[in-house]
Amino acid sequence: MSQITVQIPVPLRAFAGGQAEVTAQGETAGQVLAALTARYPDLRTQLFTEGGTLRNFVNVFVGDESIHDRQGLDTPVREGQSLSLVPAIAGGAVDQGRGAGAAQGVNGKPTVARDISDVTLSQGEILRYSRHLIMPEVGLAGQKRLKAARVLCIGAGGLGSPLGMYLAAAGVGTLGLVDFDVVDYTNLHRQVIHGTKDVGRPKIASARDRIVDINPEVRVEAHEFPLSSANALDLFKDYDVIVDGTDNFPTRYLVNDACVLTGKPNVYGSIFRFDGQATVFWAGHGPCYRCLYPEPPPPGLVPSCAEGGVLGILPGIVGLIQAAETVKLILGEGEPLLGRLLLFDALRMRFRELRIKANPECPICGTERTIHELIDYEQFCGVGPVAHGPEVAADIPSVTPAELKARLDRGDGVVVLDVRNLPEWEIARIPGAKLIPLSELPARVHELSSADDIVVHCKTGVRSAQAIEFLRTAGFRKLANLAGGIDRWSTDVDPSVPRY
Amino acid sequence: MRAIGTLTAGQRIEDLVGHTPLVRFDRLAAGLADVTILAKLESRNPGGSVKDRAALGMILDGERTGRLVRGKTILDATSGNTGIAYAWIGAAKGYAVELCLPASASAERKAILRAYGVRIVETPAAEGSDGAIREARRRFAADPDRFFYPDQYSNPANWRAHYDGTAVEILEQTGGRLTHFVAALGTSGTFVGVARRLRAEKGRAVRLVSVQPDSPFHGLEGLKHMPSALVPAIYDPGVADENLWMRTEEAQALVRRVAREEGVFIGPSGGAALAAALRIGREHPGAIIVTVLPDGGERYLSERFWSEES
Repeated sequence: MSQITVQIPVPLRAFAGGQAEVTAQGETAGQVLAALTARYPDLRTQLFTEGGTLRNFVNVFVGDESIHDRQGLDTPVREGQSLSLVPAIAGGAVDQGRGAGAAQGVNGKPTVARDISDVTLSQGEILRYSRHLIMPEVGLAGQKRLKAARVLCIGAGGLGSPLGMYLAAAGVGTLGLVDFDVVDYTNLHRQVIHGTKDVGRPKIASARDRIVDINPEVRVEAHEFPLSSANALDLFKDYDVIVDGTDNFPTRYLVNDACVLTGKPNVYGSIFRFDGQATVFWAGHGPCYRCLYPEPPPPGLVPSCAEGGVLGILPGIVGLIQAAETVKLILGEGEPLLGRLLLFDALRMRFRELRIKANPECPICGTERTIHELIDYEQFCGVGPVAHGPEVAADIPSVTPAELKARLDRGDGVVVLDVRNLPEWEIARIPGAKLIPLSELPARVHELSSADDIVVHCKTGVRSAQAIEFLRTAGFRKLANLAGGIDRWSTDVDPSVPRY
Repeated sequence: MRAIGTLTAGQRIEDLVGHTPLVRFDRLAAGLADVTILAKLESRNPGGSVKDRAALGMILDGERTGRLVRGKTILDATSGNTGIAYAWIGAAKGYAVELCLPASASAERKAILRAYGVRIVETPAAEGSDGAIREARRRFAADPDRFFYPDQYSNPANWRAHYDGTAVEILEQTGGRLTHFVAALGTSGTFVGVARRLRAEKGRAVRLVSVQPDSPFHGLEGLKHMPSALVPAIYDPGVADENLWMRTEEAQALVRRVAREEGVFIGPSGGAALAAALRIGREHPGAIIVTVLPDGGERYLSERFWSEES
């Protein structure tokens, strides 16, 4: 006997123990329904007449085919197939074939499929997409859906690079890009949409050139400004899918909330060091980002890629998972990554999956919503506008690299404490400095003397400020922060020290 | 162009809403004891259904109150007739129309809406009309300045259209001589509006009967099973003296019967209304029963019940 998943529509759930999905066994649609109604007798009178035939307004689909178009209740079913019960609405006919909305109407799968009645493909496009077109899951209709689709990528960086290139190659008709950053040398090990020749150019210009080179059929809509509470809703409403390729918490929450308010799916990906995450958030169809993370972590707790590093290949893998999910949502095919958080560990090369659920008490997509508009996300995440640059508490005395150099040259006994990690120390160091990584400082504080004048530094000044706050609580008083960290030391004092 | 002076012939299409004929169903009532069954033939509205009344009422109300101004888009959730009403009225009055409807709505419906230039937003079939309502609410919340959201489920102008229109016509066409009014519940606007007016004009002399599908899972397009549905804000369960529960097959049988015996081609919700009228007639000799037939059968031709035997 085959094990079949039966999708129960909302009006019938009360007769099936409240469940949206149940499994039942059988070799034909009729046998599966018989097994189902044996378990839930109340379903029987809903689905069948007294004579035992299916009531005339009940549509049963095996996979995406109506049993009325096959052998009725004798339609065979195979292990792993899904059987859907769909009440007839407005004439009862679910679009046949693969017309607009068919994928959604058939299995209740969420999709953003657009009307494609006016979309045509040129001969050149047919040739370009031929390896898509010959697959039934895409076909001519699916490729037209891709062409009609409007996808917005937030960020043209690590995740945005593979997303932009592959979505363009796949034939997504309109790609919006939001980014206002400039290509930097430190981007090149992972942001493969930009080349070495592009360093110093706006990312959005460089990304557009690459996309147009891959596929001139794609329309690129460049939005070269920071995404904000003031512009997000207006921007999102004209797109079908929003793909989140950002790297900071305020923007994550902003993207999520704007997606919920505009009803758009949010294809999420994140990367850190060797670990990646991906899922599809879509309020109404599954959880949103706030269902999973109601509150942001305290500022500084989760290091950014700039601080913690990232395997250059990782955004390629995670970004392409996002690209695949985006294409599936447009086609209305397959099983979207809704309600499932995919975790990827590149070091162990393993994928894991966690079930995540919509939280009924979610402040933005729950039943008692408390958020009805976009808020101040910098404030919500506890970061001020200065947090993007070196942040130094006002009462911590600082010295400039030039002043430190002068003191070292005078030999006035100043101790230079480097609180960065060992790999960073191996890249570059200030001569004579003592290395105690920030995380080891509490255990190794006895290696320092509070009688000494200590200048603390890290890469740019954030971690060293944290170290100074810790040392103060440990009784140290003669402390100063190196303004701008070793990065500014390199630019102001010693250009032979590599920047990273 | 030639000047046409003060020629005033012809009417604006909006003026053709309402004033529908009241049809007698004598053969249906033939076996009953001195029972008269009368029904408003709402398929005679310009958009082909009773929904023209509510939609026009809400749009005029929006214009009066300033919520609908030039440049705004009319947005709502509707699986059919109301959408067609918004579509043609929007076109006639120069407003864009955007509608959320379940993906399982028939191709014919969508084709009609597109013919009027409507933008269609499809919602998951499994969620039914409630899913479409949720999507419309979400869209409106995201951009309230862009849309006029009449929200037929919550807008008092819906039932007012029947209070001021349908009910008055029924009183005029029957000379006030009716003993029962029966109508099926969708948004509940028709029943609530007509019933309130009849109660106000005739007190207890008229018995008010609502009709609902007997289960949340039914084949009666446009009707709602209130105990399990998102209950419309305009629904007032206190208005009805009685509610009848209707099985889909009983309503479908009436649709076939009145087509074959009376020459009147109606949709399933009208079948539900007439089946209920027939039930009332069996128990109340001498009754004069008035009901409303929301639309014609043309929009349901792809349903399978036509080919079944009564």
